[in-house]
Amino acid sequence: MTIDRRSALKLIGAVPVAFGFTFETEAFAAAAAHAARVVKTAAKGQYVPKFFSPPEWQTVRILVDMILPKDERSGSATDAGVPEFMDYLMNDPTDTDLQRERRQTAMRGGLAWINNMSMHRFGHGFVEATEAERTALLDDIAYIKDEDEEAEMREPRDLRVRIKTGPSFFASFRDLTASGFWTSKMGMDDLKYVGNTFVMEWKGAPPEVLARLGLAPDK
Amino acid sequence: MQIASRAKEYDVCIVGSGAGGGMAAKVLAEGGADVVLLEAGQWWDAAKDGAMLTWNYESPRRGAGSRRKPFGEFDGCIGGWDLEGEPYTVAEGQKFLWWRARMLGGRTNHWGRISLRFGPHDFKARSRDGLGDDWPISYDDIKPYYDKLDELVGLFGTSEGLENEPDGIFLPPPAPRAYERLIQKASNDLKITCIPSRLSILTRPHNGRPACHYCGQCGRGCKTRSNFSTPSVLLPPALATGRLKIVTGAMAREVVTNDEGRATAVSYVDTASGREEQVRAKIVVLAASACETARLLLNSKSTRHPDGLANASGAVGRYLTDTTGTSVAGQIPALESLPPYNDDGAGGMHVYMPWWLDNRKLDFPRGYHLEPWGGRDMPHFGFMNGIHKVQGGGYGKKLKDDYRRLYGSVVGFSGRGEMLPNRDCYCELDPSTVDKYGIPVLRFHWKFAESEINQARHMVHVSAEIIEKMGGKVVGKLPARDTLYGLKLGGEIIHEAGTTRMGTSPRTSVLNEWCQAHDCKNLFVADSGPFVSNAHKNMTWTILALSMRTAEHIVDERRKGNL
Repeated sequence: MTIDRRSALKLIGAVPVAFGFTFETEAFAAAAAHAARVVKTAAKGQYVPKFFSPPEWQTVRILVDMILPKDERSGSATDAGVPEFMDYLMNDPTDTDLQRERRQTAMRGGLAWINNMSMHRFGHGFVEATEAERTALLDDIAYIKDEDEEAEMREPRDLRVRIKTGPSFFASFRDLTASGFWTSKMGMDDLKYVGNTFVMEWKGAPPEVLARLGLAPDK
Repeated sequence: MQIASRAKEYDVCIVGSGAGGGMAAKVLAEGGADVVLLEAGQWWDAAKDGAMLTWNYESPRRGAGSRRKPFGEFDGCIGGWDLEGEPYTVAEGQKFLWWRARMLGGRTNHWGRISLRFGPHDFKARSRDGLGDDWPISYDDIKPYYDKLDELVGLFGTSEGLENEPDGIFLPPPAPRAYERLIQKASNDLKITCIPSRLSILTRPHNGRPACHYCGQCGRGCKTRSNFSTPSVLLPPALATGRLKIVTGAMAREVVTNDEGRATAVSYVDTASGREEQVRAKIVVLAASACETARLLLNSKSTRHPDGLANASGAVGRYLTDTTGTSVAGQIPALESLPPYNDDGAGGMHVYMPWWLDNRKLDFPRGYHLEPWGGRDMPHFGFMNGIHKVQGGGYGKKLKDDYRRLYGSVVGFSGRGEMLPNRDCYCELDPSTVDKYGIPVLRFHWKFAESEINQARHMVHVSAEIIEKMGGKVVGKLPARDTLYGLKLGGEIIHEAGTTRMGTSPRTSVLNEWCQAHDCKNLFVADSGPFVSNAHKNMTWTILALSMRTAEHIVDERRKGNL
């Protein structure tokens, strides 16, 4: 009964299709409120987010472009509309109420955690942080090799904050950024995806591809 | 919405329009019977309603799954694990997932088109290893129907002469993709059989349907009808007879019987109005899916059938099996940064590994096959989720380059194996829960035996071996005992079978060798409920062949005046 549909989803590893942020939410609401007071309104744009507050929106825009910046091959995550994609998913009309609440809480709490961490370490929120400070913060949470390491966690810089939260939020946020970016037209063009079209005669892989793999052309 | 006329008595009422129901409708209507077909879901036609060739960025959700479309918003199957207002329950502390389609054609709209025949050993497995039960029919009994099915529907494959993987009447297979060539090479080195897959996708024009155009999107519903689904292939000729009436939005509630215990009608709920309706018929064919059919029988209680219709044996709902499944992914450096090319191909694997070992030398009694996957397919929601498990995470320009480099370099292997029926796996009516139509729901019981766990362990280790042979590395941790080697939950592979099994004895089986109820001669079952065993070969081809055989038998018996 498969395409294999389940596998054709081409996930790396056994990651569930539905993205799930996984951590506790205590004290995040307070942190978010705090961040809201510190941070001024978000940059004015055409798009008015429906879920994200102005300071959250600014944080999201900074984060997604740190994850996937503009380079010589394509634009940045904000150029590809990733923040808008995330905003849409936070109020996905196909979600059940429970799913929506879980997604929203995980996202809101994760952003608040980042801001909270920035406050602890630098005395101001993530949006006000310098590039060096932002980089220092992300460097602590962006590198995970496997779940074992994720579970153990590195030495916490500040024992008042459970640093485990950061890496798992960031991994989910990076995944979601990638979903938004690479599924955009910009992303697909960058990857040189050339399918989704009628092929009159299927010939298998081109000889130059097979040659690279040390394989003889198809008979 | 059409309401079947109460006044009219049809020759046959079929419940369910999936593989079994669609085939029965075609054979019976062409055989001269007046047929009414009840489908709980909505009308659906891939040519009109399918999302083939849609770009994922055409949706703000980028193809993400949802409650009604768990396998992605463009998937061709309306249904899922969790239908609004239609619950099912699971025994305390146990897990089972039940996929139900609610649409014309049922699950044939998004199945993988993997079209494998059961082999001679599969029908007589108990005679070989003493486990489970033999079918009351043999491969030779069903072979003519597999042959007719191949000719009618069309599938690609190659004749290999393997002992228990019977060859069919094949169209030529598509050439393997680049990663599949690498997999073949590694498999050959490891002495694992790896042959062209057998999918009911047309590589040549066939019976008026055009050949595949290799967009890789069979699962979204093929607008050119170049693959098999019931509405694309079986219902058009059935409707052309003028003798088939299809009623959608008809949720069957009960098979009505008379004082002699014979089926006389099917009562159903018109889902649009909530009104109770009834359609009379001389013969009833149930093809609602193994578990829905069992539920319908258990809900059809009468003085003649106090434990449910056709359930004097108590076997309805018992012997429930699913296919076992687990998956391992690997990252293959050789596949990194290849020159871009279109490897969408047919909607599924072009090669696969049929069972290649001898179970007498292993600690699990039955076989499995491996389904490989990979490639540079259209980026979709979830694209390269968990990339940190491969390259350590990070962010910035290097990360962006890593996505480009790794795109298309991940392959995976999904094992699909045969489980034995066991006493702990069954479904029954939940005494205290009804669905929104007031129909009592099923309660599932599920526990895998040690033999299935051992089989999953073997699948996982062989998959890792192939990945290593390809010069790659398993992504993440190789599933181990703590997760039962990644063994999917009962029901999760969506191959439920056995709940109305065939057999020679009315004391231990529900149906005879013609899928006719022992206790009710004008009642037949045409889904996977009749399966006595659930070979690892994906079940649809056998549902279709068995339904064709059953329906032809009904046509013959009607001619003889026996029904």
